Amino acid sequence: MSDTRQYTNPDENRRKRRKRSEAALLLLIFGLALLSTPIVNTFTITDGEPSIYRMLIYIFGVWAVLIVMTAILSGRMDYGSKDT
Amino acid sequence: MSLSFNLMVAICLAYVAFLFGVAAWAERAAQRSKKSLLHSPIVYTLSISVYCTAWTYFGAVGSAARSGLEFLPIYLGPTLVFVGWWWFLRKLVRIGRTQRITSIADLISSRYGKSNVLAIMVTVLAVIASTPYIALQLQSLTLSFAVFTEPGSDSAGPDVTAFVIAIGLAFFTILFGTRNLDANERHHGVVTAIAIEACVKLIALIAVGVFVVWHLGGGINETLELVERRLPQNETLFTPRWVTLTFLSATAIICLPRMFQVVVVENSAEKHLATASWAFPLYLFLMCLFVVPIAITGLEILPEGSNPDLFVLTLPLSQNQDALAALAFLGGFSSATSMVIVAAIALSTMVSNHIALPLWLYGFQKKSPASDDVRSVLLFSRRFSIAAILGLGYLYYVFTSGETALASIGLIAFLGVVQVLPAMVGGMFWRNATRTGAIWGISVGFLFWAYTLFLPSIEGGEILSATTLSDGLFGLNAFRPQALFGSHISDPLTHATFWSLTGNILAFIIGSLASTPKPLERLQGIQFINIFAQTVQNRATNLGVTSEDLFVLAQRILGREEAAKVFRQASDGQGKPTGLPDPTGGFIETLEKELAGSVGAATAHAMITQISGGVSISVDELIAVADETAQIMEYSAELETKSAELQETAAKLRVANDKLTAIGQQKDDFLSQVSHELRTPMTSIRSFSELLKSDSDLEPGKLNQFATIINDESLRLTRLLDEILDLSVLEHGNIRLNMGDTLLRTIWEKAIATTQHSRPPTGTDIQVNKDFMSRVLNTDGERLTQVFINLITNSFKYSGSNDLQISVSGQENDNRYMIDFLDNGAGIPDTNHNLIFEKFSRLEAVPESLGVGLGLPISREIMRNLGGDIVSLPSTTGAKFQLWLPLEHT
Repeated sequence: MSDTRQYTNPDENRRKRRKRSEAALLLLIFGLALLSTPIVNTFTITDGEPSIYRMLIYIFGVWAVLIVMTAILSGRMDYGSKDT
Repeated sequence: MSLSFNLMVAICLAYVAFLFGVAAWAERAAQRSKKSLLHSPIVYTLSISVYCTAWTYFGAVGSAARSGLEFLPIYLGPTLVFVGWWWFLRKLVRIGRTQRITSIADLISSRYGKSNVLAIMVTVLAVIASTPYIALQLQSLTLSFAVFTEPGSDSAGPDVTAFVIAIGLAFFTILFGTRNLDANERHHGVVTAIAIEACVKLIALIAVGVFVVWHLGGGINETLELVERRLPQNETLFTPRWVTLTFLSATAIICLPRMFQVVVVENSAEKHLATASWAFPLYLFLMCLFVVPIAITGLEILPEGSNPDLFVLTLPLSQNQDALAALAFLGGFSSATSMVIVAAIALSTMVSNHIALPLWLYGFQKKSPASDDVRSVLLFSRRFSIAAILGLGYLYYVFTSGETALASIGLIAFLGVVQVLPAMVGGMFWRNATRTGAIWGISVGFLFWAYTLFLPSIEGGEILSATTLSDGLFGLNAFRPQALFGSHISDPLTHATFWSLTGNILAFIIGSLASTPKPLERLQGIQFINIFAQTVQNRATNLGVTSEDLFVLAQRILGREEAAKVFRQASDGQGKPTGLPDPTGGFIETLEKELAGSVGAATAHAMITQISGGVSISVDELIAVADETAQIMEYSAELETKSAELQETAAKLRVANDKLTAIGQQKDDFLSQVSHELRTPMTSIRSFSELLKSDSDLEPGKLNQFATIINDESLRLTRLLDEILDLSVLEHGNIRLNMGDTLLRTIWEKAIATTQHSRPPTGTDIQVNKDFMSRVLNTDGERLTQVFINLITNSFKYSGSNDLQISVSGQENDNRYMIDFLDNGAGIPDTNHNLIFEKFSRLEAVPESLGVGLGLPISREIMRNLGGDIVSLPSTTGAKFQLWLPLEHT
């Protein structure tokens, strides 16, 4: 058994970074799908009638989830840029 | 009504004075230290909230009261852009920072070969689209002031109020917006003031919302019930208009000049974007949370016909909540003023960099730009631009007489600036996008936008007559502004968005494919697209310009101290302790970017080109492009060579490793064989000596026999050890040879004599040829004798033949003396010709006897030490060895 505690594989790190950025893209696609496609109607129409109550809950709910998910993901992003 | 107009004016003045104080403090604090609250991501996020103008603050409620949840996409679009920040905004901000972009016009111009035509186009477009928007802010400010005007009083009319406000805003903007000339640096005072205004508007709106829900509405459930009953939302949420609005607002957050200013230009660290990615959507979320309750409560409580755009203000007033009303008023005031200030800064930068300054340069073309004080011209043109932009906004306000509903103006402006989007996104991701394509795209998009949305929105039929609207241009049905080419899109905004962007994108792509980019365009394109993989590129340009000229120019634009700093850094970088830096390509490029921070990329490029004696840039740029490609190719070739080398080395190492392993194995084998060989005689010596010791009355015959055995075995041991030592010496080449002329016959006779005792009793026949017997060689006779003894002994021992015949023949052959040694014994199997020279290798078929298996290895080592060799050859009669020795030439 080799000792892997000290050594982190750069390929592995790069893969993780790429996965995180792809997760960010997935979040965007989810946001787009849930907020600006006919999926909106799927969740806001009851018995063929648009329900304002459900609309408000749905839109603000998705919105809040997006904010929380973005906050979690952004904190883990590795941007490594220079600041002025 | 206890809040009078005059009191409101007083409150406003106090608030503005407070903002002045904060801005002034922030400017000083920023100068003192680099690390402070001013550089925090929170301030950055709050400054982005300049997106929420009076249009949001008052207009969102109005929109909700008129058409339900339609206001939401305006905030969902930007939310999506920030959620996906990693994939677009990050690249935009990085480009803005590395290329020192000063405005959206600068970005487009810079990408397409620092084209001034494009810069002017975008600037004009931005001014046309923003003027109504600024007018809108003035309108909402005067409207909210008018709420406090008592009917019939002699307070100022709305036009006068708007005028005073415009003047005040121009003053503030000039004071804090043109303090430092480098538009690329943050305007700390302004940004801080705007961050405070952002807090005020958020707090005010939430305060009114809380008041409405819990004081007027009686709680969440009651409010939701009222919403279900009163909100004018008859359709499903998802409609073409919903998608259009989401798309427009998403692009507006990037393309609006003021948004570009705060998001890209004022960004001081990319990591701030990570915070803003969730904090800004959160801000929007909170801004929208109470819009619907305020709207429906206004519809429920206020008298029929009240302006829903003012519900935020009139609701608290109607309940005699003076403090809350004053706060709501300040919130609206903050929204409007912050937008106007930032828009004026962004637009004035564009106007002065891309229109005023080039015009001035053109007017003074005869003189060198360095000989005039560009700095003061720049300052003046920027200040003048601010005043002019606010003046335009005011004029627009006066002429449209403040009638149009707030929301529609904002959307028209959005679609106007969105025409920049294809050129911008194409420039960031599409290598073949060209200047021509961008010009075509923006022009076509602009025409479509003006014809289908902007002109029809101007009421009174002064520009587009009512008949044109209903029957189309020149009576042609296909050219009806709101049903172009017979498309039946009911919503004019969706219609205009569809046609303008379709035309724009098509023209952009066709124009790009139909034209060839100039070298500078291609260079910039590569830099924009590969912004994250950028290495330092040195432009191999020699523009024929002296550092003195450049210094004079830089001094005019950047100011003496700043210019000196830039030049000092450059000469330090070049390793020159004193004097001006050499005008290398790299330095000129850096300087150009530095200047671009003040005057924009196109102008800076024009100045540098002009000062360098009008040297045509094209050839040099061509070289630069070629150079860059060559660099990349060279680099990748280098990498390939390196990896090939590495592979080769690895292969060599593997071979060496295999060899070492084999040698190690041989050594182990050798040791175990030596031990085994030593063990056998030792065992018999020990057992016989024990017998002698324990049994004292042995008969003399036995005694003698045992002693002989012990003696023989001791001799064998000694011989073995001698041979091992001998072999070791020979193998390491440490042997000392006694070279001398020797007659082979002497050697042969000595060998025969030595082996006499082991000659088989059945009789042997030995034949040696004449040449061998008479040959004299310069060699070590002792050692060579040893070889022959070995060969003869082997024949005697292993031949297994009763009638042994040995034949030895020597002859000269090609500078060598070849000796063939043959016997008629059992011979050596073909596969074993090499094996017999290995240490301790005895052929299995042969019974173990005196030899220890070191004879042939020793012989071979001797022959090699003498400069020759010995090999075993296949033969039909028996064993055949061939020896050779070098012949000396004298």
